[in-house]
Amino acid sequence: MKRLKISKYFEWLKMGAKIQLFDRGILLENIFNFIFQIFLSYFLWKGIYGSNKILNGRNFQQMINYIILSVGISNIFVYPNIYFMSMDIKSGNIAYTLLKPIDYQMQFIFKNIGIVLPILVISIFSVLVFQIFIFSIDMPVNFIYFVISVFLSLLTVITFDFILGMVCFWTENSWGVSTLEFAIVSFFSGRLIPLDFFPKNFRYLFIEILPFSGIIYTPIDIYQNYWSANDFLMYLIQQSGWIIILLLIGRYIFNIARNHVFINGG
Amino acid sequence: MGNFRYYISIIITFIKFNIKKLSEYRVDFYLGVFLLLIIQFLNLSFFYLIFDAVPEIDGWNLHEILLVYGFYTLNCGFFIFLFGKLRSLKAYLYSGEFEIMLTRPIPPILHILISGFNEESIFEIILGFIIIFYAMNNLGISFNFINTIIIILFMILGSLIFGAIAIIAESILFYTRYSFTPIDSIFSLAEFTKYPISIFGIVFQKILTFIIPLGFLSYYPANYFLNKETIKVNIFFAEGVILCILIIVSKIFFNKGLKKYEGNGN
Repeated sequence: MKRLKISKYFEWLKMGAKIQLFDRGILLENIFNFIFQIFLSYFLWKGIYGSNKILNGRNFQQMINYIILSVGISNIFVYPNIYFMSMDIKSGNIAYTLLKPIDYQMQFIFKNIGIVLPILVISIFSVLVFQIFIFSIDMPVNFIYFVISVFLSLLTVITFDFILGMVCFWTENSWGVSTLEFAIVSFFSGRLIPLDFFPKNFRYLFIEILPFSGIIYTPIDIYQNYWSANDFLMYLIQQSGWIIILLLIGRYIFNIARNHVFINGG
Repeated sequence: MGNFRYYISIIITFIKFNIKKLSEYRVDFYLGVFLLLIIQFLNLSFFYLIFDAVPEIDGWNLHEILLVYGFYTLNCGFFIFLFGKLRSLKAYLYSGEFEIMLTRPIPPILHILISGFNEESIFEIILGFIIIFYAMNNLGISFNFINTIIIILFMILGSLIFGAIAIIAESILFYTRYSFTPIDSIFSLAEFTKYPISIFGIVFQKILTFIIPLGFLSYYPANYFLNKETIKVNIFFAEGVILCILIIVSKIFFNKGLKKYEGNGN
């Protein structure tokens, strides 16, 4: 019985990877976007630094490292999964899925992990190419810590996406919800600008309390700076706690949405 | 001439229809406006954070940057208002709706454009005006009648240029068996114009001026008022010429693509 359960998750993973690999155009555009974003950020920050040597404790080289890592990590979750979930809902496919004894949330999570895997390979490949031919990026202080933190970052994004995706049960404007998700995550995760640029009052809230810092800012911090085993353990517990909370919120809203659909004879 | 009147009456009917549809989906509308405000708030906060740390980016101060961004918002808003539905071409081709459009007595491109109505774009346009007004106020440029006309002129020219580029990008669908369009890369490219394109180097600036003229969304309109760079020709004349060229190219691309579509035995 147990073997059956695990293979189900694995199937969803494979399904997701296939979806990504099917549309080869997306992979190419991914590399394209990667280069674009680094190009934009490089010149933008060059202009920002100007004659300043150090901003918020980072010199220009470290800032560029931050940007490349940020683009690399965020490249992993640009897949418009909310949009596709809304297509499922609109087309009525969701009813078919709801009738089966499938855990919709789990399927969503594993499918999206699968979708991410090919992009992850491309991200690593792109970062290495950059490393060798264009900019040199420092090596991570602790590679294993970094890998774990990126995995937690991915789970945070997916569980958050699921919650926002639920909004699509109540609105047709799925593209707007998708854009909102992207804007919120970009802003509060430190993707565009390191979180230590925020005014003091907000810094504690954004970095220590909200889960979004764990998507970009904290993984990069783990990459660039030394973290003691104790600190890392605290981070692990905190971020995992958030993922569980987001998971539960997602399940709760899903149940509300499902009842809403059934009442409306969906 | 009778033809022209006919087209206008069709457009008016469609607009009336879309406005009726709008009042039905009230939740979507308010949600869309809410999302727009949040996104703009986040974007503007980004600028605030940067200018909290440094006084200027590559010689452009906060209000000059806001002027550029204001024009970007204004032009993008008007572009989405006019050409927002272009994105649906791929869906129309796949669903067969495009086939139906061809049977109607109006040019298919017009049909696509008026097939939907993005009401949030009106708010984006208003917001663009507000940002420009705010920036001009702080820069000591008077927001008088002549300048307002000039801003509107830049808005019309800029959006039409963007629209022609978008039509060319979407037309590529016809040549790639409805699978690929570089429209998303074009939108990514447009993101560069949120900032003054002069900070990205002379080569890139020339690309965004002569090859994919997105610079007219924000940089050149702002430059008209700020005079950061002396342009040898009258900017309106230049935009007019580029627009004419783009209209011709986009017509050729789309019509040739259309012939291909019809030639596919559809």
